[in-house]
Amino acid sequence: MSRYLTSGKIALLALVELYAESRFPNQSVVPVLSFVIRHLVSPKENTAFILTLEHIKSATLHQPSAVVGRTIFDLLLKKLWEINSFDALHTFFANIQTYLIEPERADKSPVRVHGEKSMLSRTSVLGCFVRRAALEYVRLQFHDAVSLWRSFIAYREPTLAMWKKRNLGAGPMSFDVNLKGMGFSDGVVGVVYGRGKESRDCTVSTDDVERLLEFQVDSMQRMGTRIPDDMQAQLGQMLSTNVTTPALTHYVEFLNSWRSGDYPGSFDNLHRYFDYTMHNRDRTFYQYALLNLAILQADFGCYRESILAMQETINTARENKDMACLNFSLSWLYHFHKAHPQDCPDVISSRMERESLQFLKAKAKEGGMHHLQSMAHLSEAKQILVGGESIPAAFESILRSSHLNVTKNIHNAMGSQILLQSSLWSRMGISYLSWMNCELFLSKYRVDSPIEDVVKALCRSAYIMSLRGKADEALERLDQVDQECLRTLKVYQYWATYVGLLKLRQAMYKGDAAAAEMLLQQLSASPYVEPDCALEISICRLDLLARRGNYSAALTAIAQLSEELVRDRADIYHRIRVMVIKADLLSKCGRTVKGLSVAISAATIAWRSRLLPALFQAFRTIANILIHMGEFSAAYSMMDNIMPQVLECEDAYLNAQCFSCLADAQMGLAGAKKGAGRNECLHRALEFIDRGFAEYSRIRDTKSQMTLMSQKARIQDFTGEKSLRDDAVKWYKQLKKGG
Amino acid sequence: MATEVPDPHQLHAALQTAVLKCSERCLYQAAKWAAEALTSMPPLVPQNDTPLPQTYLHPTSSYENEAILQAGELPTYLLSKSYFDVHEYDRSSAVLANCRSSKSRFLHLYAQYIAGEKRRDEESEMILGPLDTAATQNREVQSILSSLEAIFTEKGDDINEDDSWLLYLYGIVLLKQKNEDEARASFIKSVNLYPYNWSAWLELGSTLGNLGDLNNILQSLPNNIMTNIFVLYSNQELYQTSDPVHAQLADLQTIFPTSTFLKTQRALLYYHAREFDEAEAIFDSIVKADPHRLDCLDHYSNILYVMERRPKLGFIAQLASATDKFRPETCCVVGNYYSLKSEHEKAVMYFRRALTLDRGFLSAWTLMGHEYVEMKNTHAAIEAYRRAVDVNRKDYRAWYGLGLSYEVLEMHYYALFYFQRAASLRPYDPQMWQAMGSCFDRMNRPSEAIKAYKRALISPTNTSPDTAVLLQIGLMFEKLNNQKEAARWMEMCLKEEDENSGVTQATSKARMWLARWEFVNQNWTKAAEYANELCQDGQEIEEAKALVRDLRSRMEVGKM
Repeated sequence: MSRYLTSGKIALLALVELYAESRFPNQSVVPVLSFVIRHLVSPKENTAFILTLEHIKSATLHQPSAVVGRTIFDLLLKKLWEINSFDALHTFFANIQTYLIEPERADKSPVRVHGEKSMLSRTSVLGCFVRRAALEYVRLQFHDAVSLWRSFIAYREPTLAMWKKRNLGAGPMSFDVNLKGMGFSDGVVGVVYGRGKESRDCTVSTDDVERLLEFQVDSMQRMGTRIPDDMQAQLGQMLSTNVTTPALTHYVEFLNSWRSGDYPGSFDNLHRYFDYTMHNRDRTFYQYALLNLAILQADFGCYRESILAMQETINTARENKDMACLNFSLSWLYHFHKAHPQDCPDVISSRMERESLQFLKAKAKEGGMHHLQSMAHLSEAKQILVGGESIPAAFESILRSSHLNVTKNIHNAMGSQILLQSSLWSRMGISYLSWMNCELFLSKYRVDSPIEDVVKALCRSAYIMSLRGKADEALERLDQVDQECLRTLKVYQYWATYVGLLKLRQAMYKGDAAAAEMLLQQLSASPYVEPDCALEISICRLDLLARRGNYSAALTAIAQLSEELVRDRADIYHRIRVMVIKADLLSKCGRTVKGLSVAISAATIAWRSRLLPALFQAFRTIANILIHMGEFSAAYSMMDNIMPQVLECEDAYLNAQCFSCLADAQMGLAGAKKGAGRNECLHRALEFIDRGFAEYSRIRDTKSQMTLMSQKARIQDFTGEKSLRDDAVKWYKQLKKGG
Repeated sequence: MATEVPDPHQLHAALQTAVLKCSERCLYQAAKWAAEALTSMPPLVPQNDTPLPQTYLHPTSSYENEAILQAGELPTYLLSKSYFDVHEYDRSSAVLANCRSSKSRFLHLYAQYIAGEKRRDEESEMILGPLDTAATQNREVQSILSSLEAIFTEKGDDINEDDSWLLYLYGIVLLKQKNEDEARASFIKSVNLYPYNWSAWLELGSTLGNLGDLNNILQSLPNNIMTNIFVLYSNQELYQTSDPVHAQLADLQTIFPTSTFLKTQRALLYYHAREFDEAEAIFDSIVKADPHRLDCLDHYSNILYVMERRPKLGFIAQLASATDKFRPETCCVVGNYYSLKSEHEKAVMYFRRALTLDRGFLSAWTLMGHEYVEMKNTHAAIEAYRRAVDVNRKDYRAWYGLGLSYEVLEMHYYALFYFQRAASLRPYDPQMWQAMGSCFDRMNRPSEAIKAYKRALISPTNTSPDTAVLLQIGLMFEKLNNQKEAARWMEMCLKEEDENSGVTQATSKARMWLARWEFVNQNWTKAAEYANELCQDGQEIEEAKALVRDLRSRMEVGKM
C-alpha cells in the first residue's frame, strides 16, 4: 500500500491539470473543482473515501469543456490514456509541477486569463495537493512506483470501451505502449503485468485509511457509537492488504472494545496504541494516555484507580503546560467528584468545592475553550439545583451556556443544556414544558449530539409519558430507539434501566407482586446506574414493601436510604422525596405526629427550593394526617387550593392521591353536617372519587381503584341509590377478578 | 583460428556431464552456463541402440583410483554438499577435512573459500562509506593456497581431469593475491585438463589485460569448441568488433542456434561498435524469448540510455524488477532509468544497492561514477571509477571517467594518464583521443596535442572527420606559430562543413579565425566574404558585424 498516492488521486491530478490548462469553461469550474476539493479535504461522508472512476464520470460527464463537442470526461479520458507507459506516468508527475508558480515570481499575483495556461499558487489547496502528490511520487521506490502504475492500469481498464469510441486504434494491449504488437500470451506481458491478475494494492493508501480511521474515531468519540459490524469487517479487509497499519487502528479498537464493555480488551488496545505512538517525538502523548486511562477506569467502576490516574494526568499536564488537557482533566475531576463523592479522597473533595468551578470557568474563558466554558456554566446550574438554591440563578447559568452554544455553534453541548433545562421544568412542576424540551431536542439536535444524550432525552420523555399514565405508549417510544446506539454498553444499561423501571411500575400498580419482585431484583443487580434511576428503584422498592404491608422493613430501608443520601450530599430533590415517603409511611403506621413534623419540614424545604411536585406530595401527606386527626376543613381547603397546580404536574398517581384525599376530606366534612349540607358533601366526595378513579385507571392501579370503588359503593349505599351502588359493586368485583 | 565442428552427440554428452559435474561441485554459474549451452543446441535424433546414457546418473571419474576414493567418500560428500546448498559453508568444509579424493578436496577448499568470501562481505563497510576501503581481504586465501600447494606437490605431474577443479581454485586464490601470471598458467592448465568448466574460462578471461595477452596464450589452449567460445568472449570483452570476430560468432551460432549467450555477445559487439539499433533489436528478441532472464540486462539498459528511449527503459526496468528486485542487474537498470530522468540521487541509491548485493559488479561502479559527475561530486566520482577499474581493468568508460574527473579538478597530468589507458583499450574511439588532445593542449604541449587529434580523425565507423577536431588541430598549429598550417586546417574544416556536417559552432569559429587571418594579411575582400558568411550563419554575429564595419572603413580608406 502506498502512503498517499492512489489511482484515484492520479485521476484527480489529471483533472487539476485540465483545469490548469484552462480547459474548463466558466460554468464548469465550480462544480468540477468542488468535486475535486471534496475528495482532497477530509471528507465528512464516508462514501467518498475510495474514489472510483464512476464517481468522476458522473461528476464530469455532463460538464461541457472548452473544446467544442467534448465533455470534461472526454478530455480526462484522453489525458488518462495518454499515460501509456510507466515512463509516461513518471513524466506526468514531473510535468504537473510546471503548473506551480515559481517562488521567485510569487509576488506578482497571477491573473487568470481565459484560454491561457493558468498557474496554481503554491499554497492553494490545489497547489498543495500537486506538490504533495509530486513529492510522494519522488519518495516512492521503484517497485512501489511500478505497483502504482499497475493499479492505475487496472483502475483505468473499465473505460477502454469509451476510449475506443474516440480512438479506433485502441485495443486490449494499448495500456502500455511498449506492448505494441504483443498479445496477452506473450511471456513478457506475463512477467511484467502478471497473467490477468490485477493488483489491488494501491486502491487505498495509508493516507486514505488514516482519514477513514480519523472519521471513525471522531464519530465514536463525539457520538459515542460503535462501528457497525459490516463496516468493521470492511475496514479489517482494507487494513489487511497493507503492511504498515496506522497506529490509529488500535485506538479505534480501543474505543470499540470500550463501548462494548470489554474491559481487558480496551486496556490492551489503549496501551498498544500509545506504545506505537511513542516514537512520534513531536508530541507527548503521556498525559492523554493517562487521561484516557482514568476515564476508562471510571467507566468500569474502578474509581480509586481512576482518581490516581487523573491526578497523574493533571501533574503531567501541568509539567507540559498543556492547558487544554489540564482544564479538561479538572472539569472531569469536578464532575467525578460530584458523581462519586464517597470515592474521592478528602484532599480532592476539599479542593473541588465551588472555587474550582469558578476557576474552571475563568480558565476556559481565558483559553477560549468555549465548550468547556459552556459545560462549566451548566455544572454551575446543576450545582445550584442540587443545593436547592435560587432558581433564577440557575436559569441565568443555563442561559449563559445556551448563549455560548448558539454563538459559538457548539452543537454537541446542546444535549446537556436542553436536558438540564427539561429537568429544571419538571422540578418546578411544569411537566408539559419539560416534555416539550425533550421532544424539541430529539427532533432538532439528534444528528449532531452524542448518542448518550439522545437516549437520555428519549428515556426522559418516555418517563414523563408514563407519569401521565401512558405507560404503553412510553414503552413503545423506548422501543423506537436506534438499535445501533444500544451497542454501546453504557447507553444500553441506561436504556434497559428505564425500560425495567416502567415495567416495574406497571407490575406494581397491577398488583403483580411476583413480576415486580423479579424486575426489582434485576434492576438492583445492575451495578452502574445513574443516581436518578437508583432513587426511582429505591422508591419502587419502598412502595412495594408498603403495598405488601411490610412497614417495619420499609422504615428500616428508608432510614438507610436517607442516610446514604445525606452521606453522598445528594440532590435536595431526592432527599425531599424520601422525606415525604417517610412521612407517609409514618402516618400509615399510626405515628401521625412524627409524620406530620417530617412532612412539614419537607414541605418547607421544598417550598424554599421551589420543588413543587415534592411540595404537593408533602401537602397531600399533611392533608392525610389532618384528616386522620379530624381536621377535615383545614385539609380540604389546603388541598383545594393547590389542586390546579397539581394538575399541571400531569402526574396521574399524584392526581389520584390528591383526589382521593379530597374525597376523604369531604366525607369527613359530611360527617359533621346534616341534611342538604351532608348530601352536598357526599356528592362532592363522589365526584372526587370518580376523578380519582379515572386517574388511577389511567395508570391501572387496581388496588387503589378497588379501594375507591368500595368507598363509592358505601357512599351510594348510604345515599340509598341502589342501582348506582350495584354498579359500583359490579365494578369492584370485576376489578377483583383481575380486570 | 580453425574451427572444427565437433560431433553433436559427443558435445551433447560432454555438456551434460559438465552440467552434472559443475553442479556437483557447487559451481552453480558454470552449471547454468553449460545447461544453457546444452539446450541451445538443436535436439538430437534419439538413437535407439544406446540405452539411457550414463551421464544421467552420477558421473563417475574415468580414473580408477579416483573413482574408488569417490565411491568410498560418497556419503560424506553428499552431506557436505547439502550443507553447502543451505549456505553452511564452514560446516560443509569441515565435514570433508580428511577426505582424499580430488572431488572432495575441491569442495572442502571451495567451501572454505566461499565462507571466507562471505565473512569478507559481512566485514566490509557500507558502500563508499568513510571506512569502506575495499581493502577487506578473504582471510582463508592463504591457508587454501598452502593446502593446494601441498596437494600439487604430493601429486607431482600425475594430475588428471579431476584435478582441473583444484587448479581452477588455485588460480582463483592466486588471483586474489594479484599473482596474475601464475594464476593464468593455472587456469590454462585447468581448462586443458577439463575444458567444460566455464567458470575457469571466465577467470582466465579476467586475467587478460589486452589483446596481446590473448594472443600470447592462444597457442596453449586446448583444441576444443570451448576455446572458440572463449576467444570470442575475450574479443568481445576487449572491444574487438572486427568482421572476423563476427564471422567466428556466426560459426558458433550454427552449433548453438538458440543460444542467448551468443546472441548477447553479438549484441554487445554491436554495442561496442556503437551500432545501437542492431544491438537493441537483438536484446529485444532475447527479452521476448526469455523474459525472466536478467543477465546482461544492464548492458541493454546502457544501450537504451544512450538512445534515450525513456519509455522502453522504464519498461525494461519494470520487467527486471518484476522478476527479481534484488539482483544487481535490476538495480542497475532502475538506476539507469532514474539517471535518464535526471533523478541522480535516486540513481545513486540504486547503484549503491546493486553494489551492496555484489561488490564486484562492474557497471554499477562505473555508472555510479557517472552519477557523481552529474551531481558535481568529483571526489566521490573518482573513488567510484577507481573501484570500477580495480574490479576490471578493461572498462574504458571508467578510465575515461577518471580522466574527465581529473580534468574538472584541473589536474591535467593525471587526467592524461587515464585518457591514455582508455585510448589503449579503445584505440579507434575518437572520443578518447580528442580528450587526450585537449589535455595536451591544456598542458601547453601543442605538438603532442596535434598527434592526438590527428589520431582522433581515424575512425573505423565514421569516415568524415569531425569539424571540432579539425578546428582544434588548426588552433594547435596557431599555438605553434605555424599560421599557414593552421589556415590549411581551418579551410579543411570549412570544406567539411560544405560537404557533410553543415554549420556548427566549430565551423563558425574556424570561419571567424579565417576572417581574422585574412584581415591580418590585409586580404580585405576574402575577409569580408568570411565575415558576411558569418553574419548569415547566425553565430558570433556581433563580432562578425564589428569586423565587417571595420573592414568596410578600411576598404574605403584603401579606395581613397
